[in-house]
Amino acid sequence: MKQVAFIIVLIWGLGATATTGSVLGSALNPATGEELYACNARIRSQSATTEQICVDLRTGGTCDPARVSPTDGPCQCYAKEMIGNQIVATGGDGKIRAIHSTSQWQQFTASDSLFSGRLNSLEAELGSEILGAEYGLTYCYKGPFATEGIDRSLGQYLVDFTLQGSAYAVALDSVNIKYACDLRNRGQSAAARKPTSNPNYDDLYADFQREENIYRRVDDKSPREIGYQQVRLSLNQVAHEVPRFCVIEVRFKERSGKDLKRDKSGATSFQGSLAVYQGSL
Amino acid sequence: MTNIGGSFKNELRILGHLLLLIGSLTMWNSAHASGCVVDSDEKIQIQISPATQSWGDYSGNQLIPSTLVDKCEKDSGRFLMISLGSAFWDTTNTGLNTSIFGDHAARNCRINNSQNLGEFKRDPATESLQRQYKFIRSCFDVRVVDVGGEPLIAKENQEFCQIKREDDGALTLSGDMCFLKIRARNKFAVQPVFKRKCLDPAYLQELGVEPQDMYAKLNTLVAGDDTGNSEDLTHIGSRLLHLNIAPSSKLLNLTEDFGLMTPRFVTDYSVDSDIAGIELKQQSDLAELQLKFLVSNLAQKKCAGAQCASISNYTQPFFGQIELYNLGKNRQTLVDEWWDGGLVPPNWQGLVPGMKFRLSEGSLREGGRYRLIVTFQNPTDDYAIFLSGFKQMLLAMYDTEEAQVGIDIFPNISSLSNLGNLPSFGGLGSLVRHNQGVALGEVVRGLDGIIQSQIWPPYYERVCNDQISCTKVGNKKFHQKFIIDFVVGGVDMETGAQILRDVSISKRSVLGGNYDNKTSGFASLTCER
Repeated sequence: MKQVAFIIVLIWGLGATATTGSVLGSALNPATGEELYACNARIRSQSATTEQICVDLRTGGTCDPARVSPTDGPCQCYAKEMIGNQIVATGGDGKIRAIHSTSQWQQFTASDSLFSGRLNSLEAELGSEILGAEYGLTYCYKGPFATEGIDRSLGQYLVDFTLQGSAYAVALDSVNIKYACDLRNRGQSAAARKPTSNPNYDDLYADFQREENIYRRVDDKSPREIGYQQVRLSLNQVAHEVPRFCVIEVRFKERSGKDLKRDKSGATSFQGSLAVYQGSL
Repeated sequence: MTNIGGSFKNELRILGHLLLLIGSLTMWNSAHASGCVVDSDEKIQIQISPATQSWGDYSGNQLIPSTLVDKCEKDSGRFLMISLGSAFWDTTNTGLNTSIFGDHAARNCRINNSQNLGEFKRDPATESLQRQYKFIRSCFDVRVVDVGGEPLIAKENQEFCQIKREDDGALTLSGDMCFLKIRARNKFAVQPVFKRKCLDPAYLQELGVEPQDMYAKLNTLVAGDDTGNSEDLTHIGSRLLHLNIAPSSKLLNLTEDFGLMTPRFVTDYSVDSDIAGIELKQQSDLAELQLKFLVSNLAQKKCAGAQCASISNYTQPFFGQIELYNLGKNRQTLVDEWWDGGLVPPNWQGLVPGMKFRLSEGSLREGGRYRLIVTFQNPTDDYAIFLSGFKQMLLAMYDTEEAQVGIDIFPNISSLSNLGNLPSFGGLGSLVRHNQGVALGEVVRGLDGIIQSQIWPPYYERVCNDQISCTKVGNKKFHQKFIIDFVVGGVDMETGAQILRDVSISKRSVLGGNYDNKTSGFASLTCER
């Protein structure tokens, strides 16, 4: 018997019309204490060249970061060919933020404070002509509290991920899901999670970690559509090792190369869902 | 596998969803003849409750959605001007004005020929607007983020604005008007940000801000330069913010407390009114009748400790039922019936023009005697009835006049399907005219008003007069009622309206100020400037 603990549904839309302010709920189960919410997003692009543009932020003129006089405005440089690859999010504080792609990962939340990085909305725009962007969406899961008497939180926990989509497959190289959990009875933090518990980031990556491929483009004959894909994966292996904290990242990687262009004609969209269950495979 | 806790787990439902939209490259390729455009004029509705230290939209989300300024290629090199101004309604109801520098004073007017409204009071309105400006300037910054991939170019110290660069590349603007240089690929996400320190009652007292309804407008313009004096200005967007600062329940009577997520509203009602005119226009078998009301939303302040507020610090609905009778020798026959009115801004006195209602029976007979009975029974119920009738009228017009109405106009009012959308303070303009396309355009502009909510207006429990003597709503069949008798005369060549002869007006009200058979004509408002 499968018992649904949580479902969070992701809907991706890829098209010529971007809408702002997509609201993203966070999921809270007051009965068990479980929570699931988006907590980070990150982006990087592979660069064919490293041509930079540097701009004086006060005047808009060009500048040289090596030669900035005290009267000049701040000098900011960015890679020309990655313009437009970005993720825009609204944080838990209501403030809108944007990260722009560079050859290094750019992200909203530092890796050692993921659980405090709640995101209320998320929107990605991929504007670079050369493709080559890689972006990851991270969800944070806080596991159940123990219950008094017979601990009903004990059991196997599963993550269920589905994905389907259309013409974007031409641009897409792969979709991966990667997750890591801090478990009960493992590592330094072994007790059941309490409302006041904080994740142990060392345990998180040491206790249990796994990566699965959901979609991979094989060659040019690969279908343009991403058919319905579903994976169901265990967050723990034995019933007493109940997840305390898990992070789940879904990573999309575009193909790269100068000769590639986006398929402008294709009406493209993605849909997906992410759920955490207590139950059996 | 155990069954324990099965039902407990099955309680769980889909709890959230994420919408992630990815705009593809094609966005960049679209060529636009015009310059920057703004993607949203959606109203922003925020309740702020210092008493419970909470703020948010009417669903409890602490989120003010941003406005996107996009497609700026053609405006490259010019400047984006951003101003969060203080918004107010003129006494003669010519529309919503915005004051950038907070220098607004209410107009000096005189109320003429009213037996119940008393003197025009200018100060309460001016003070209310000054508090509003103070709050908007002290409690909101504007955050600008580039989502196009180019840096944001701006001088930090501007004459009317201070700009702070944040670590994440965003700009925080504070001041009356701010300028940013536009680069071709800039896309600006512009977002008012509420400062949490404004939840502190002590800080609000220091500012001299009372709990009240406030209105602000986020205006975006494209300017030729960043001096603030440029005449080369193109207005590209305007967004209304309605801020409701909730009073403490110790100060004023509030709706029931359903917890932090549900805003509470004042349940005392304070709008008094007089009839300021009836206009009848006829052409062959068509007749349009419009009533004008002179209204006053002023009540005395109540204080608890150092904190003061008045029930008239809040916007209130003013809607009633209108019945038109033909007066025969021995009996009166109902000709038509409709609901009409408007919303009355905080601490405001002025004219609320009703809609131009087209009579279903055709024109009125010259020389005929008629009677209008205007009944204000329950502010909330009357408003709901008005809204549902108004929706029906719009839908009917859309069905029959699709070609003229224009498909691009209607989506703006499609949100009417959520009952709770309010029309403007200023009445609704003409609903029915020969060119209904124009009429509906006016209505849509009229809806530039305000509130989209299932929880406002509240049920008013008491109707109060200036002196805070109150009567329970529902104890009487109405809180205000007018009976107006008149004889239809010939056409006034100047106005094109029918002259009304032998006008006699009577008023009954729980607020006091009753009068009988007033024959000196309608009340009026004359204003300087």
